[in-house]
Amino acid sequence: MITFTIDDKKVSAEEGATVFEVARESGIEIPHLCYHKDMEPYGGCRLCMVEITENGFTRLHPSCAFPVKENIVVKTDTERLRKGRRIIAELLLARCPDVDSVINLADSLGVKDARFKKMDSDCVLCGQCVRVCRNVANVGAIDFINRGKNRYVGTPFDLPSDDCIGCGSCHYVCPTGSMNMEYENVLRWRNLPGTLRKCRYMRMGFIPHKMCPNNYQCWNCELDQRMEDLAKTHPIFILKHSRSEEKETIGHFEIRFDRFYHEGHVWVKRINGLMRLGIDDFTRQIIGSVSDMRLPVIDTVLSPGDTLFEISGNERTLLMYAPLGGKIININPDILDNPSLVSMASYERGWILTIDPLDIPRASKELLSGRSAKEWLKHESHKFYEVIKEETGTDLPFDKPIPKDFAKTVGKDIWEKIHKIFFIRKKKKNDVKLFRIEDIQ
Amino acid sequence: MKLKNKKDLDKVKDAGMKSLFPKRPQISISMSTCGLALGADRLFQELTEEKEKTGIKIALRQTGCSGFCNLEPMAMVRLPGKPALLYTQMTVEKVRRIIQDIQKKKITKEGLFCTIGNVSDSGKPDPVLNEIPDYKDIHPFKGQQRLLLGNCGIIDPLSVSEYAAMEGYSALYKALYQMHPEEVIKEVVESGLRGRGGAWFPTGFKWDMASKSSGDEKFVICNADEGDPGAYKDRTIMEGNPFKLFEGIVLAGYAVGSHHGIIYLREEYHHTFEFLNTAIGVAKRYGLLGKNILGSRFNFALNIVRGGGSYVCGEETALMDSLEGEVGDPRLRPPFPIEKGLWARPTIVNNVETLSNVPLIIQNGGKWYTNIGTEKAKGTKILSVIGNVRHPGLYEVQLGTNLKQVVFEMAGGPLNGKSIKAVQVGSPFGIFIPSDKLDVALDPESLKEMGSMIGSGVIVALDQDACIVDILHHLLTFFVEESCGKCVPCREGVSRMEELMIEIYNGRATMKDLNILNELGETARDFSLCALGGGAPAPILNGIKDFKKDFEAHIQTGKCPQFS
Repeated sequence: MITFTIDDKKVSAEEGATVFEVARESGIEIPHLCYHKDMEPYGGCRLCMVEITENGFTRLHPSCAFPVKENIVVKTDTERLRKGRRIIAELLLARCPDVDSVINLADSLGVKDARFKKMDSDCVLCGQCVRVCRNVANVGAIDFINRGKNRYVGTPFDLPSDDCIGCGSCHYVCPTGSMNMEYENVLRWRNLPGTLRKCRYMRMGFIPHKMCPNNYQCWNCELDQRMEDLAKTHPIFILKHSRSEEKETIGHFEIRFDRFYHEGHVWVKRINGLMRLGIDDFTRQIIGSVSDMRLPVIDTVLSPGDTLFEISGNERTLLMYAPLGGKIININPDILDNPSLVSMASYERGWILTIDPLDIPRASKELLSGRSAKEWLKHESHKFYEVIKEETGTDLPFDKPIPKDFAKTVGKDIWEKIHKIFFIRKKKKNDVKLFRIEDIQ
Repeated sequence: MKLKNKKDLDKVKDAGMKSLFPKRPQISISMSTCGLALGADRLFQELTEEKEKTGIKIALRQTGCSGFCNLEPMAMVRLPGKPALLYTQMTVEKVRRIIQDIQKKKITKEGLFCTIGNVSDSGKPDPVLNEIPDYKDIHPFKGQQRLLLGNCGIIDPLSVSEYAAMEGYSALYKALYQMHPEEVIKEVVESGLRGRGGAWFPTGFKWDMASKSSGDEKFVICNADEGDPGAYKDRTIMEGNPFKLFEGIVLAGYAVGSHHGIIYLREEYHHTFEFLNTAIGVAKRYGLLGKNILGSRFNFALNIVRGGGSYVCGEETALMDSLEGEVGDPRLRPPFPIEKGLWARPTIVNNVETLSNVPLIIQNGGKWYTNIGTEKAKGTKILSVIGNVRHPGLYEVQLGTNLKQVVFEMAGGPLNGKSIKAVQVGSPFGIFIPSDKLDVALDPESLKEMGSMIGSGVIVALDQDACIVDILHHLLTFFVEESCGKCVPCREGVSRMEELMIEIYNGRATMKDLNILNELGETARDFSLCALGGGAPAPILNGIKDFKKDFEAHIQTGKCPQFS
């Protein structure tokens, strides 16, 4: 618990809470516009600014984004803040003179009229629609266009977006009512034949399959009513909480569900019809750190089971095998400059090469994903701990990651055994010629 | 050829000395962006053709800009046993004449600006060159302390050997082979180096925190999005001495435990982009970037990414948004970049000039560096002096040098016998200092005391004919154009300030409107999200105070005093 002072009142709060939330709980309502309780703070409206005194320095901070700290002194309503908020309200009022929520906000701060030239916008650019679309719905159909005073919210090139799923969450969160859901999209969908007219709950991923019988008039739909009753907010916000994570850790090995795994501990991810490859977290932890590698050259044609590349580090080497056949299109230029990247970000920037696959259906039969990958990794990790116990007589602790210098501590013969058990599959084929990094460059 | 140990480095050093002090006559043409704009490429081509045609034995090479672009294209002539001769504002005819004179073993006097190191073979000043001043005694080089710019314009920027001959890469060698990363950070902390991008944050402190933050993957970003109007110091360093910058970046990476550096380059620097890419290729060939640098076990990859042309992307968090492929909007802090920066990894962002200081500090020690500058701000600062002065250009001086001295003595003061009305230090966010207050030391603290800042070191001098209202209106247009639009005080507030300023300019406003301008300015200053909105009002607020006469003239007569 963290204790600090808000407006001469001592309060305590959990670590990680923001000043805004704590103030609200203790009955102090700080003016705000771009804040939304289910979204990350944005800090754009600057109405929720408070004076925070920390280590003897008083500064202005947006309360929506400032995490509580021990012994800070927060003032939410000083003359300086009131003056600034009034100016901001006046500026917003001059921008949107006909929007009720802005008029009410200005009124509550004592601003009746703006001294500036009036515009007739109905959008305050609080960014809630953009954030809900990108971060909550995970769609990103709309974004800000232009910068500065020419900024507005829209779709790319102002054309109806193919990415929009018509969930309506942008319209739901908009505080000024300016955000009309991409109505043209709805019109387009309405003209589709009945069997192609997918319900918006299907597009959002709530239900596996449902056609819309109501011609996208959701207010007539029973399912929509039930969903809204259940959620008590826009359904997209519950989806956010229940959506399954994209990654998981099995023991101490991380697994990602956006890619395939091969039994030789190589991951494969499909990108624009090509296959990108790298080492999985199991390999990364066993080798500890990669300091050098040997690689095939671009344009090498592989068949499944061929030797693919060799990584070395901690005085040990591991030879890896091709999970699928194809032609090597590209080698990650970053790992040529810095091989240790392979062990630093093995799932991301530390990818190794890209293959143009020959036979995708066949390859996909042998690759693991989702639940099967999870089961396989669980099995492998158990087997690994058993093998280590059997061979070395020591227990690696299950609840800690494998020590970084593990590879160095086991003997050469045990290392070879590990290589044989976990990395070589039955269908070992040709030896592709591998080159040192210096020779590739 | 990869450099793998001290011996390789020494070998390259010797080769560099040979090409710097050649046995046969040598002509170097300065071919940075500014030189190219004034026809240096045509000059070089003509020279090459001439050389082939006549078959004369002259070595031709290229150098970078030395900071005085109005004197371009420059040619440096080295004759065996003679000091280097610097010719300015060259044309094809003039260079041809120089070549003819070289064949006749004569020294051309026409266009000869100064000598560099006026010492002949005998160790005494050369009698022939007696009347030609040394560069240390002539404007605009007089009084400068060129720690960073010293080699710009002298060495071939794409030659590792010449840079090594100037003690280059000895700092990196020392760090990689004799120092722990913590020791490197300790030296930088001790030196008191502070960020030269404008915020003056202690560099060593930033590195220390970044090295302690958790995570395997860390990034070093070199901020080369030099967007301040009138600033070109970073470009000059990058085009004049790129390996110094690379050395600084690799040292930063070694210190904080990062293996990946990114130079975020300003979009408009087309030539610099091509040039830096070539330089990276050269450094890689010599094993000074990439895998196993200088034969050690340290790897470091360096990439260049070009910005999209937005000024606000020079702000470090907006820069990272831009690198991630998003719209460049400043992010909220906390979290700070040292904890969660680029792709949520610990990241340090340093300016080109800051990073170029690092090799000097490691080579000579942090203590040596503390001898230069003031008590709180150490080192030199490259000032870009522009506006109504006789010698506009880059001046590298010790921090704490007097502003009056820089404007009136080094840059030569105003033109045509006019007087200076105001000087803006730290354009565009610094205030316009009236002529009676110019007696101020150029360091962050002294300038902060008077409500200004040194920023990235742009100094704009205005003479008596300038109208402050006109200039402020121009500045506001820039701020409005470059505001990202994320937060209300900057997007709405500053654009309303511009609106009012137009009214004032055209004489349609009253003195009351100045109060509104003040209120708007104070709100934008205190409530904005980033330094763009927070810094924009300062010149305006102070301008109203210090130059009320100009405002009164506009409001009362509706005419600009500079045209009446």
